[in-house]
Amino acid sequence: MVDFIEAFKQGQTVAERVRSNNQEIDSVFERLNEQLAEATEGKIQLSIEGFAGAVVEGDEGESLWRPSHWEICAGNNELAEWEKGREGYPCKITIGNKQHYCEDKTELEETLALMLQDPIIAGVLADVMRLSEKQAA
Amino acid sequence: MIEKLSFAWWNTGLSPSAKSRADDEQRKIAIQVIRQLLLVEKIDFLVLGEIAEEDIFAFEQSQDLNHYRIKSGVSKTGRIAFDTCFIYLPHKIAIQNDIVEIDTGRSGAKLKIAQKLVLRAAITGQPFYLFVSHWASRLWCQENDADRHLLGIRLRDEVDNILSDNSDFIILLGDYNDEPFDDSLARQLGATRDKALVKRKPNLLYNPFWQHLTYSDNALNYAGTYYHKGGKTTKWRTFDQIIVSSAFLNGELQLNEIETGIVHIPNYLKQVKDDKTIFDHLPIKTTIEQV
Repeated sequence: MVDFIEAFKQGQTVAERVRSNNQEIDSVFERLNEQLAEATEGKIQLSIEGFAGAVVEGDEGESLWRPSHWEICAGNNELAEWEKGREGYPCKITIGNKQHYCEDKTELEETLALMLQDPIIAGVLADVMRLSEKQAA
Repeated sequence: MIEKLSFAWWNTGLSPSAKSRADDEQRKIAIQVIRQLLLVEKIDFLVLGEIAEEDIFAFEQSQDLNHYRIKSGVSKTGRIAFDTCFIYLPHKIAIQNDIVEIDTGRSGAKLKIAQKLVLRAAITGQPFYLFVSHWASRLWCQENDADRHLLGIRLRDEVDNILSDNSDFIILLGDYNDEPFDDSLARQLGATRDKALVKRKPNLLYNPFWQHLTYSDNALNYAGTYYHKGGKTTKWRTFDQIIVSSAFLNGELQLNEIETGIVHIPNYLKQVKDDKTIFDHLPIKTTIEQV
Protein backbone atom coordinates (compact mmCIF):
# COMPACT_ATOMS: atom_id res chain seq x y z
CA MET A 1 0.00 0.00 0.00
CA VAL A 2 1.21 3.49 -0.78
CA ASP A 3 2.48 5.27 2.33
CA PHE A 4 0.69 8.63 1.99
CA ILE A 5 2.07 9.93 5.29
CA GLU A 6 5.62 9.43 4.05
CA ALA A 7 4.74 10.98 0.66
CA PHE A 8 3.23 14.00 2.44
CA LYS A 9 6.33 14.42 4.63
CA GLN A 10 8.59 14.25 1.58
CA GLY A 11 6.42 16.83 -0.19
CA GLN A 12 6.69 19.19 2.77
CA THR A 13 10.48 18.83 2.78
CA VAL A 14 10.53 19.75 -0.92
CA ALA A 15 8.18 22.67 -0.30
CA GLU A 16 10.56 23.98 2.37
CA ARG A 17 13.50 23.66 -0.02
CA VAL A 18 11.55 25.51 -2.74
CA ARG A 19 10.67 28.30 -0.27
CA SER A 20 14.30 28.60 0.81
CA ASN A 21 15.58 28.57 -2.82
CA ASN A 22 13.09 31.23 -3.88
CA GLN A 23 14.06 33.42 -0.93
CA GLU A 24 17.71 33.03 -1.87
CA ILE A 25 17.04 33.91 -5.52
CA ASP A 26 15.01 36.97 -4.47
CA SER A 27 17.83 38.04 -2.15
CA VAL A 28 20.34 37.92 -5.05
CA PHE A 29 18.15 40.27 -7.11
CA GLU A 30 17.63 42.53 -4.10
CA ARG A 31 21.38 42.85 -3.58
CA LEU A 32 21.92 43.36 -7.32
CA ASN A 33 19.38 46.18 -7.30
CA GLU A 34 20.86 47.76 -4.17
CA GLN A 35 24.30 47.86 -5.78
CA LEU A 36 22.94 49.10 -9.13
CA ALA A 37 21.01 51.85 -7.32
CA GLU A 38 24.22 52.87 -5.53
CA ALA A 39 26.28 52.85 -8.76
CA THR A 40 23.70 54.75 -10.85
CA GLU A 41 22.14 57.03 -8.22
CA GLY A 42 18.90 55.06 -8.49
CA LYS A 43 18.60 55.31 -12.27
CA ILE A 44 18.58 51.55 -12.91
CA GLN A 45 16.40 48.94 -11.28
CA LEU A 46 16.02 45.44 -12.69
CA SER A 47 12.85 43.39 -12.52
CA ILE A 48 11.52 40.09 -13.85
CA GLU A 49 8.53 40.57 -16.14
CA GLY A 50 6.22 38.13 -17.96
CA PHE A 51 5.67 38.45 -21.73
CA ALA A 52 3.62 37.19 -24.67
CA GLY A 53 1.16 35.31 -22.56
CA ALA A 54 -2.41 34.18 -23.06
CA VAL A 55 -5.57 34.92 -21.10
CA VAL A 56 -6.92 31.75 -19.48
CA GLU A 57 -10.06 31.13 -17.46
CA GLY A 58 -9.61 30.82 -13.69
CA ASP A 59 -11.46 28.43 -11.36
CA GLU A 60 -14.28 30.90 -10.83
CA GLY A 61 -14.59 32.01 -14.44
CA GLU A 62 -12.32 35.02 -13.99
CA SER A 63 -9.75 35.98 -16.64
CA LEU A 64 -6.14 35.23 -15.71
CA TRP A 65 -3.12 36.29 -17.72
CA ARG A 66 -0.40 33.62 -18.00
CA PRO A 67 2.92 34.76 -19.46
CA SER A 68 4.64 32.39 -21.88
CA HIS A 69 8.11 33.59 -21.01
CA TRP A 70 9.91 35.85 -18.57
CA GLU A 71 12.59 38.46 -19.08
CA ILE A 72 14.98 40.33 -16.83
CA CYS A 73 14.14 43.95 -17.61
CA ALA A 74 15.42 47.44 -16.94
CA GLY A 75 12.23 49.50 -17.18
CA ASN A 76 10.71 48.59 -20.56
CA ASN A 77 13.95 47.13 -21.90
CA GLU A 78 14.28 43.34 -22.08
CA LEU A 79 17.82 42.36 -21.17
CA ALA A 80 17.85 38.56 -20.87
CA GLU A 81 15.39 35.69 -20.90
CA TRP A 82 14.67 34.22 -17.48
CA GLU A 83 13.41 30.76 -16.52
CA LYS A 84 13.13 29.38 -13.03
CA GLY A 85 12.98 25.65 -12.25
CA ARG A 86 10.09 24.14 -10.30
CA GLU A 87 12.32 23.96 -7.24
CA GLY A 88 13.76 27.43 -7.79
CA TYR A 89 17.03 26.10 -9.20
CA PRO A 90 18.20 25.70 -11.84
CA CYS A 91 17.54 29.19 -13.12
CA LYS A 92 18.22 29.62 -16.81
CA ILE A 93 19.38 32.99 -18.08
CA THR A 94 19.67 33.49 -21.85
CA ILE A 95 21.91 36.37 -22.85
CA GLY A 96 21.81 36.78 -26.62
CA ASN A 97 22.69 33.34 -28.00
CA LYS A 98 24.14 32.06 -24.71
CA GLN A 99 22.07 29.93 -22.36
CA HIS A 100 23.40 29.65 -18.83
CA TYR A 101 21.96 27.18 -16.35
CA CYS A 102 22.59 28.34 -12.78
CA GLU A 103 22.43 25.42 -10.38
CA ASP A 104 23.02 27.48 -7.22
CA LYS A 105 23.40 30.98 -5.78
CA THR A 106 27.09 31.35 -6.73
CA GLU A 107 26.33 30.63 -10.39
CA LEU A 108 23.28 32.89 -10.39
CA GLU A 109 25.43 35.77 -9.10
CA GLU A 110 28.19 35.05 -11.62
CA THR A 111 25.74 34.88 -14.53
CA LEU A 112 24.05 38.14 -13.54
CA ALA A 113 27.52 39.72 -13.42
CA LEU A 114 28.18 38.34 -16.93
CA MET A 115 24.89 39.86 -18.03
CA LEU A 116 25.96 43.31 -16.82
CA GLN A 117 29.26 42.91 -18.73
CA ASP A 118 27.60 41.86 -22.01
CA PRO A 119 28.36 44.61 -24.57
CA ILE A 120 24.78 44.92 -25.88
CA ILE A 121 23.18 44.87 -22.43
CA ALA A 122 25.74 47.35 -21.11
CA GLY A 123 24.77 49.63 -24.02
CA VAL A 124 21.07 49.32 -23.19
CA LEU A 125 21.78 50.17 -19.56
CA ALA A 126 23.84 53.20 -20.65
CA ASP A 127 20.83 54.37 -22.72
CA VAL A 128 18.51 53.88 -19.74
CA MET A 129 20.81 56.04 -17.59
CA ARG A 130 21.04 58.78 -20.24
CA LEU A 131 17.27 58.83 -20.66
CA SER A 132 16.81 59.06 -16.92
CA GLU A 133 19.29 61.98 -16.74
CA LYS A 134 17.49 63.77 -19.61
CA GLN A 135 14.13 63.37 -17.89
CA ALA A 136 15.57 64.68 -14.65
CA ALA A 137 17.10 67.75 -16.37
CA MET B 1 18.49 7.43 -56.42
CA ILE B 2 18.34 7.47 -52.63
CA GLU B 3 18.84 10.94 -51.23
CA LYS B 4 21.45 10.90 -48.47
CA LEU B 5 22.90 13.30 -46.00
CA SER B 6 26.09 12.57 -44.09
CA PHE B 7 27.47 14.10 -40.92
CA ALA B 8 30.87 13.66 -39.30
CA TRP B 9 32.63 14.72 -36.14
CA TRP B 10 36.34 14.87 -35.51
CA ASN B 11 38.12 16.12 -32.42
CA THR B 12 41.22 17.43 -34.17
CA GLY B 13 43.41 17.99 -31.09
CA LEU B 14 44.81 21.12 -32.80
CA SER B 15 43.67 23.72 -30.27
CA PRO B 16 42.08 22.53 -27.01
CA SER B 17 39.82 25.26 -25.53
CA ALA B 18 40.54 27.28 -28.71
CA LYS B 19 44.19 27.80 -27.68
CA SER B 20 46.32 27.05 -30.70
CA ARG B 21 49.13 24.55 -30.15
CA ALA B 22 49.60 23.10 -33.64
CA ASP B 23 52.54 23.79 -35.93
CA ASP B 24 52.27 24.01 -39.73
CA GLU B 25 53.09 20.33 -40.21
CA GLN B 26 50.32 19.27 -37.80
CA ARG B 27 47.83 21.58 -39.52
CA LYS B 28 48.78 19.98 -42.84
CA ILE B 29 47.97 16.54 -41.42
CA ALA B 30 44.64 17.90 -40.15
CA ILE B 31 43.82 19.32 -43.59
CA GLN B 32 44.59 15.92 -45.16
CA VAL B 33 42.13 14.26 -42.76
CA ILE B 34 39.51 16.93 -43.52
CA ARG B 35 40.00 16.40 -47.27
CA GLN B 36 39.62 12.66 -46.79
CA LEU B 37 36.37 13.19 -44.89
CA LEU B 38 34.88 15.69 -47.32
CA LEU B 39 36.18 14.55 -50.69
CA VAL B 40 36.55 10.78 -50.25
CA GLU B 41 33.98 9.97 -47.55
CA LYS B 42 31.65 12.58 -49.12
CA ILE B 43 30.62 14.13 -45.82
CA ASP B 44 28.05 16.90 -46.27
CA PHE B 45 28.33 18.44 -42.80
CA LEU B 46 31.58 18.13 -40.88
CA VAL B 47 31.95 19.32 -37.29
CA LEU B 48 35.46 19.82 -35.95
CA GLY B 49 36.48 20.13 -32.30
CA GLU B 50 39.53 21.68 -30.57
CA ILE B 51 39.83 24.41 -33.16
CA ALA B 52 41.12 27.99 -32.90
CA GLU B 53 40.52 30.85 -35.33
CA GLU B 54 44.09 30.35 -36.71
CA ASP B 55 43.16 26.80 -37.74
CA ILE B 56 40.02 28.02 -39.51
CA PHE B 57 42.11 30.57 -41.40
CA ALA B 58 44.40 27.72 -42.56
CA PHE B 59 41.40 25.65 -43.72
CA GLU B 60 40.06 28.62 -45.68
CA GLN B 61 43.30 28.78 -47.66
CA SER B 62 42.80 25.22 -48.91
CA GLN B 63 41.76 25.65 -52.57
CA ASP B 64 39.93 22.34 -52.95
CA LEU B 65 37.51 23.28 -50.15
CA ASN B 66 36.31 26.35 -52.08
CA HIS B 67 32.79 25.12 -52.62
CA TYR B 68 32.34 24.31 -48.92
CA ARG B 69 31.18 26.88 -46.43
CA ILE B 70 33.32 27.19 -43.30
CA LYS B 71 31.70 28.62 -40.19
CA SER B 72 33.47 29.25 -36.93
CA GLY B 73 31.98 28.00 -33.67
CA VAL B 74 34.86 29.41 -31.63
CA SER B 75 33.61 31.53 -28.77
CA LYS B 76 34.71 32.50 -25.28
CA THR B 77 32.52 33.77 -22.45
CA GLY B 78 34.01 34.02 -18.98
CA ARG B 79 35.60 30.65 -18.20
CA ILE B 80 33.77 28.83 -21.01
CA ALA B 81 35.45 28.33 -24.40
CA PHE B 82 33.71 26.64 -27.32
CA ASP B 83 36.25 25.42 -29.88
CA THR B 84 34.34 24.13 -32.91
CA CYS B 85 34.11 24.71 -36.63
CA PHE B 86 31.55 23.62 -39.22
CA ILE B 87 32.42 22.80 -42.85
CA TYR B 88 29.47 21.99 -45.07
CA LEU B 89 27.96 21.97 -48.55
CA PRO B 90 25.56 24.93 -48.56
CA HIS B 91 23.44 23.59 -51.43
CA LYS B 92 22.66 20.46 -49.39
CA ILE B 93 22.32 21.85 -45.89
CA ALA B 94 22.17 25.28 -44.29
CA ILE B 95 22.59 26.62 -40.77
CA GLN B 96 19.49 28.63 -39.92
CA ASN B 97 20.23 30.17 -36.55
CA ASP B 98 22.86 31.94 -34.53
CA ILE B 99 24.66 29.08 -32.84
CA VAL B 100 23.20 28.76 -29.33
CA GLU B 101 25.78 28.07 -26.63
CA ILE B 102 24.59 26.20 -23.55
CA ASP B 103 26.49 25.84 -20.30
CA THR B 104 25.79 25.11 -16.67
CA GLY B 105 27.47 26.05 -13.42
CA ARG B 106 27.48 24.58 -9.94
CA SER B 107 29.61 25.39 -6.90
CA GLY B 108 31.94 27.58 -8.91
CA ALA B 109 32.56 25.00 -11.66
CA LYS B 110 31.45 25.87 -15.19
CA LEU B 111 30.61 23.09 -17.64
CA LYS B 112 29.93 23.23 -21.37
CA ILE B 113 26.79 21.32 -22.31
CA ALA B 114 26.46 21.85 -26.07
CA GLN B 115 26.16 24.19 -29.00
CA LYS B 116 22.74 24.00 -30.64
CA LEU B 117 22.24 24.52 -34.37
CA VAL B 118 19.05 24.54 -36.40
CA LEU B 119 19.72 23.09 -39.86
CA ARG B 120 17.63 22.99 -43.01
CA ALA B 121 18.42 20.19 -45.46
CA ALA B 122 17.45 20.17 -49.13
CA ILE B 123 16.12 16.59 -48.87
CA THR B 124 13.38 17.48 -46.38
CA GLY B 125 11.35 20.50 -45.47
CA GLN B 126 11.67 19.77 -41.78
CA PRO B 127 14.31 21.40 -39.59
CA PHE B 128 17.08 19.35 -38.02
CA TYR B 129 18.41 20.15 -34.59
CA LEU B 130 22.07 19.47 -33.99
CA PHE B 131 23.67 19.44 -30.53
CA VAL B 132 27.46 19.49 -30.60
CA SER B 133 29.10 18.63 -27.29
CA HIS B 134 32.62 18.48 -25.97
CA TRP B 135 32.22 17.60 -22.32
CA ALA B 136 34.85 18.10 -19.66
CA SER B 137 37.90 15.87 -19.68
CA ARG B 138 38.10 13.16 -17.02
CA LEU B 139 41.26 14.89 -15.82
CA TRP B 140 39.10 17.73 -14.44
CA CYS B 141 35.79 15.94 -13.90
CA GLN B 142 36.23 12.30 -12.94
CA GLU B 143 34.38 9.29 -14.30
CA ASN B 144 30.92 9.05 -12.65
CA ASP B 145 31.31 12.43 -10.95
CA ALA B 146 27.96 14.07 -10.14
CA ASP B 147 28.83 16.83 -12.61
CA ARG B 148 28.97 14.28 -15.43
CA HIS B 149 25.41 13.21 -14.52
CA LEU B 150 24.44 16.88 -14.53
CA LEU B 151 25.77 17.25 -18.10
CA GLY B 152 23.51 14.40 -19.21
CA ILE B 153 20.51 15.81 -17.33
CA ARG B 154 20.83 19.29 -18.82
CA LEU B 155 21.42 18.00 -22.35
CA ARG B 156 18.28 15.90 -21.91
CA ASP B 157 16.39 19.05 -20.78
CA GLU B 158 17.41 20.71 -24.04
CA VAL B 159 16.25 17.71 -26.08
CA ASP B 160 12.94 17.71 -24.20
CA ASN B 161 12.49 21.41 -25.00
CA ILE B 162 12.42 20.42 -28.70
CA LEU B 163 10.67 17.05 -28.68
CA SER B 164 6.97 17.68 -29.03
CA ASP B 165 5.42 14.56 -30.53
CA ASN B 166 8.72 12.65 -30.94
CA SER B 167 8.79 13.40 -34.67
CA ASP B 168 11.60 15.92 -34.42
CA PHE B 169 14.92 15.19 -36.13
CA ILE B 170 17.62 15.64 -33.53
CA ILE B 171 21.27 14.64 -33.90
CA LEU B 172 23.66 14.83 -30.96
CA LEU B 173 27.35 14.40 -31.63
CA GLY B 174 30.72 15.14 -30.15
CA ASP B 175 33.33 14.05 -27.67
CA TYR B 176 31.53 13.34 -24.42
CA ASN B 177 34.59 12.05 -22.56
CA ASP B 178 32.14 9.36 -21.46
CA GLU B 179 31.36 6.08 -23.18
CA PRO B 180 27.96 4.84 -24.37
CA PHE B 181 27.50 2.75 -21.20
CA ASP B 182 28.25 5.58 -18.75
CA ASP B 183 25.24 6.80 -16.78
CA SER B 184 25.50 10.38 -18.06
CA LEU B 185 24.64 9.17 -21.57
CA ALA B 186 22.78 5.87 -21.06
CA ARG B 187 20.57 6.89 -18.14
CA GLN B 188 20.48 10.69 -17.84
CA LEU B 189 20.39 11.48 -21.55
CA GLY B 190 18.43 8.31 -22.32
CA ALA B 191 20.65 7.20 -25.22
CA THR B 192 20.18 3.46 -25.53
CA ARG B 193 21.58 0.58 -27.62
CA ASP B 194 18.11 -0.94 -27.94
CA LYS B 195 16.66 0.19 -31.26
CA ALA B 196 13.50 -1.90 -30.80
CA LEU B 197 12.84 -0.17 -27.49
CA VAL B 198 13.37 3.27 -29.04
CA LYS B 199 10.72 2.40 -31.63
CA ARG B 200 8.29 1.57 -28.82
CA LYS B 201 9.36 4.41 -26.49
CA PRO B 202 10.16 7.23 -28.90
CA ASN B 203 11.24 9.66 -26.18
CA LEU B 204 14.43 7.58 -25.88
CA LEU B 205 17.42 8.36 -28.10
CA TYR B 206 19.33 5.77 -30.13
CA ASN B 207 23.09 5.51 -29.77
CA PRO B 208 24.60 3.42 -32.59
CA PHE B 209 28.07 3.75 -31.05
CA TRP B 210 27.36 0.89 -28.66
CA GLN B 211 28.49 -1.15 -31.68
CA HIS B 212 31.91 0.49 -31.69
CA LEU B 213 33.33 -0.47 -28.31
CA THR B 214 35.65 -3.24 -29.50
CA TYR B 215 37.94 -4.19 -32.37
CA SER B 216 35.87 -4.61 -35.50
CA ASP B 217 38.20 -7.06 -37.28
CA ASN B 218 41.23 -9.28 -36.83
CA ALA B 219 43.60 -6.52 -37.87
CA LEU B 220 43.14 -5.04 -34.38
CA ASN B 221 43.46 -1.51 -35.70
CA TYR B 222 41.26 0.33 -33.22
CA ALA B 223 38.67 -0.48 -30.54
CA GLY B 224 37.12 2.92 -29.99
CA THR B 225 37.57 6.52 -31.07
CA TYR B 226 40.06 7.86 -28.52
CA TYR B 227 43.52 6.42 -28.00
CA HIS B 228 44.52 6.74 -24.37
CA LYS B 229 48.23 6.20 -24.37
CA GLY B 230 48.42 5.53 -20.62
CA GLY B 231 45.37 3.23 -20.38
CA LYS B 232 46.03 0.31 -18.03
CA THR B 233 43.21 -2.08 -18.97
CA THR B 234 42.32 -0.55 -22.34
CA LYS B 235 44.02 2.01 -24.49
CA TRP B 236 40.82 2.68 -26.46
CA ARG B 237 37.71 4.57 -25.38
CA THR B 238 34.57 5.34 -27.38
CA PHE B 239 34.24 8.94 -26.25
CA ASP B 240 33.14 10.25 -29.66
CA GLN B 241 29.57 9.38 -30.54
CA ILE B 242 26.65 10.33 -32.75
CA ILE B 243 23.23 9.85 -31.16
CA VAL B 244 19.87 10.32 -32.91
CA SER B 245 16.25 10.90 -31.95
CA SER B 246 13.65 8.21 -32.62
CA ALA B 247 12.38 10.10 -35.69
CA PHE B 248 15.43 8.70 -37.53
CA LEU B 249 14.13 5.19 -36.89
CA ASN B 250 10.46 5.88 -37.56
CA GLY B 251 10.26 8.89 -39.88
CA GLU B 252 10.73 9.88 -43.52
CA LEU B 253 14.49 10.04 -42.91
CA GLN B 254 16.24 6.95 -41.59
CA LEU B 255 19.60 6.28 -40.05
CA ASN B 256 21.85 4.15 -42.26
CA GLU B 257 23.80 2.08 -39.73
CA ILE B 258 26.12 0.54 -42.31
CA GLU B 259 27.37 4.04 -43.07
CA THR B 260 27.60 4.99 -39.40
CA GLY B 261 30.72 4.46 -37.35
CA ILE B 262 34.42 5.20 -37.03
CA VAL B 263 36.21 6.47 -40.12
CA HIS B 264 39.40 4.50 -40.78
CA ILE B 265 42.10 6.61 -42.39
CA PRO B 266 45.17 4.30 -42.41
CA ASN B 267 47.94 6.93 -42.39
CA TYR B 268 46.15 8.96 -39.75
CA LEU B 269 45.71 5.95 -37.42
CA LYS B 270 49.52 5.83 -37.12
CA GLN B 271 49.46 9.43 -35.89
CA VAL B 272 46.83 8.62 -33.26
CA LYS B 273 48.84 5.69 -31.89
CA ASP B 274 52.06 7.69 -31.84
CA ASP B 275 52.76 9.06 -28.32
CA LYS B 276 54.56 12.09 -29.72
CA THR B 277 51.74 13.62 -31.78
CA ILE B 278 48.87 15.90 -30.73
CA PHE B 279 46.33 13.63 -32.47
CA ASP B 280 44.41 11.17 -30.28
CA HIS B 281 40.86 10.94 -31.70
CA LEU B 282 39.53 9.15 -34.78
CA PRO B 283 36.75 10.77 -36.81
CA ILE B 284 33.21 9.34 -36.76
CA LYS B 285 30.36 9.64 -39.24
CA THR B 286 26.72 8.88 -39.83
CA THR B 287 24.45 8.87 -42.86
CA ILE B 288 20.74 9.44 -42.98
CA GLU B 289 18.66 8.75 -46.03
CA GLN B 290 15.20 9.35 -47.39
CA VAL B 291 12.93 6.30 -47.42
